[in-house]
Amino acid sequence: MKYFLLFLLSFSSLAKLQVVTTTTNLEALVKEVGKDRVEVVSLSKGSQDPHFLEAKPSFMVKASRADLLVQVGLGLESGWLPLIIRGARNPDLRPGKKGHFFASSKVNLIEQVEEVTRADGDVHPEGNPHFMLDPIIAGDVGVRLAKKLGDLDNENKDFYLNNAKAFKEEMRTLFLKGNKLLAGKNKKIITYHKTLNYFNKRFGLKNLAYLEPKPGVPPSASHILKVIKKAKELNPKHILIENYFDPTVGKRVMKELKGSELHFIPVAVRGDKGVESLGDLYKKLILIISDEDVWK
Amino acid sequence: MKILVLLSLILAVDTFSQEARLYQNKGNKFNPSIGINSLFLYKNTEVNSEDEGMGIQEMEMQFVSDVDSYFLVNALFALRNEDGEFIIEPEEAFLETTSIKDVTFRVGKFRMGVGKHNQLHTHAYPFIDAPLTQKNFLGEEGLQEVGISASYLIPTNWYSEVILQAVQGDNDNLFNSANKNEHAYLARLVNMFDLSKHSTIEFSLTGMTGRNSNEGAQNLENTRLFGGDMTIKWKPSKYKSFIWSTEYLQREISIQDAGVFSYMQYQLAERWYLGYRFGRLGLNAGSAFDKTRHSAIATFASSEFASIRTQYSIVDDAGVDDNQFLVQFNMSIGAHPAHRY
Repeated sequence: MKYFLLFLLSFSSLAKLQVVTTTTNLEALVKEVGKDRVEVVSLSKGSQDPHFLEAKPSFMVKASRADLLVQVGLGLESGWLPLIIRGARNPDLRPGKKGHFFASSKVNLIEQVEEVTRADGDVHPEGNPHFMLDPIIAGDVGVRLAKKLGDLDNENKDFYLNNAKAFKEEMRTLFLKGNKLLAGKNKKIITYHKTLNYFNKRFGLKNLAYLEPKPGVPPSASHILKVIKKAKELNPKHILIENYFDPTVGKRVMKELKGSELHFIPVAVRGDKGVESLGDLYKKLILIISDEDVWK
Repeated sequence: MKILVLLSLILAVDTFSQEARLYQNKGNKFNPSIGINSLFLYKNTEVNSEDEGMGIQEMEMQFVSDVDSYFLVNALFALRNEDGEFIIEPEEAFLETTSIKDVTFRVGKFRMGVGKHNQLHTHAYPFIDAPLTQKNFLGEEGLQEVGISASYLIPTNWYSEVILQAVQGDNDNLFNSANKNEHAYLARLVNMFDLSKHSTIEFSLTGMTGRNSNEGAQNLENTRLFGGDMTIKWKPSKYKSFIWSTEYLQREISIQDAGVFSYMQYQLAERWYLGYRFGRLGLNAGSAFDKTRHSAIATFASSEFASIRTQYSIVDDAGVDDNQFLVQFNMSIGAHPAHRY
């Protein structure tokens, strides 16, 4: 009997919920909520722009065995994920089915536009997809994710929900502390892409300009001159380049601006050394912008 | 009172227009995704050919949509100039199962799994024109047939897929059996491994068999195709990438022909690509062809939806030399389904 139980136990570890996410930020969230009771793997790496991934067949292999697919939505993954879902031959992962989760649904989205044309660049008309950079939103998404995990794995329902609530609380504390650190500091920044907009909104930062003239369009000389002119007038402290973009433009802008600092920032978990969780990521960004050395 | 009437009128108009809007939205929501690819071509060759000068190489109209919760339909119509007249042809029109685990079935007309390149639409070709093996062995547009296809993902730790296809066979010289009960069959095995964080290698083998009536309707002969292909890809970021792909194809009708092509593509900046391709037909004695081609290509892609490409080819066709210069504008509008890896 004892051996039989052990035998069953060995199966229960095999029967862990298998989750695939499109980004490392979502992977980190699944880890916060599921802890050691789920196996999770992200398709993109922290150093990759999830918008420009390719439909690699090894992703299909991962998705073919998954119980749940967690994706951002809003068109962020539309260039490759549909082929992964088709190629995985795993019908449960299709949008609307029990093994699929849109992290963006019910998020209070910004930058939604009614009319779009491709002449505006890579616009996501349903809203800016970088909401996972706001700790408060991440906390809310975590609670919804816990409900989804609980639906698939009823036994651990309460475990997931309690973890999610604890994470949400942790994010709330982090936000308050971050706000304190940033109080009275120069809150004007410049970024490459509209990646930080949710983060900015939460912490009251002001993004003066973007190095790319339109989303997804590489910087032109005339646009960079405009950015430099604006920066000279308004004196932002930090030029922040998401570290999967080309660093050369940032360096060029810096030559013209004396009082500013250039940083290549991670915008995803495992996008840089020491960034192993969402908490690490938000803290790193806050420390850079507030010019503090340690989180205290 | 007047105000009340006016207010209720305004409200009525408003609810009416809202309802109308809801109705309209619903109608559009279920429309298929529509995309159009336009290929404009300028061609200049030393050995004069009919398709020289400026022209529309091809326009592709693609429609994709879920049918219900069990099927999706994908249809691609190609508009092209054939001997001075524009014709519209279904290049692919098939249904695919979406609710079966591990296996995908396809029914309809589809590009067959003879190597990797044959499965590409014209706008996704790595060079402006098709490789020699496709054009000379399979036909101008490649091998697209009507039939049924099943592809199975083998449960291994790497990507391993078996594709089995049975088709009617309606190709000009490969599968033109006069007996409509004779079909053509294909088997393909695909294996792909991750070499490192940013690179992959793919090996595939294809075999195909069918019947042809090249020697007369009463005199059916066997047709056999055999192919192998290998592709290495490296893509560390969106600013840099490298592809090396080689395909070998052999066909047996009444005679035997073997050919090969190999190309490399290097992305040197976000929007710039350079490529070189080598093609050779007549690898065996007694072949109908003796042809070698070297091509170089430079691509500027202003976005993922548009590219401008120039290509230069040096051709030796059984001792007749030719130099070809091509310029192509490749534009996609509307919904653009994701590209195969």
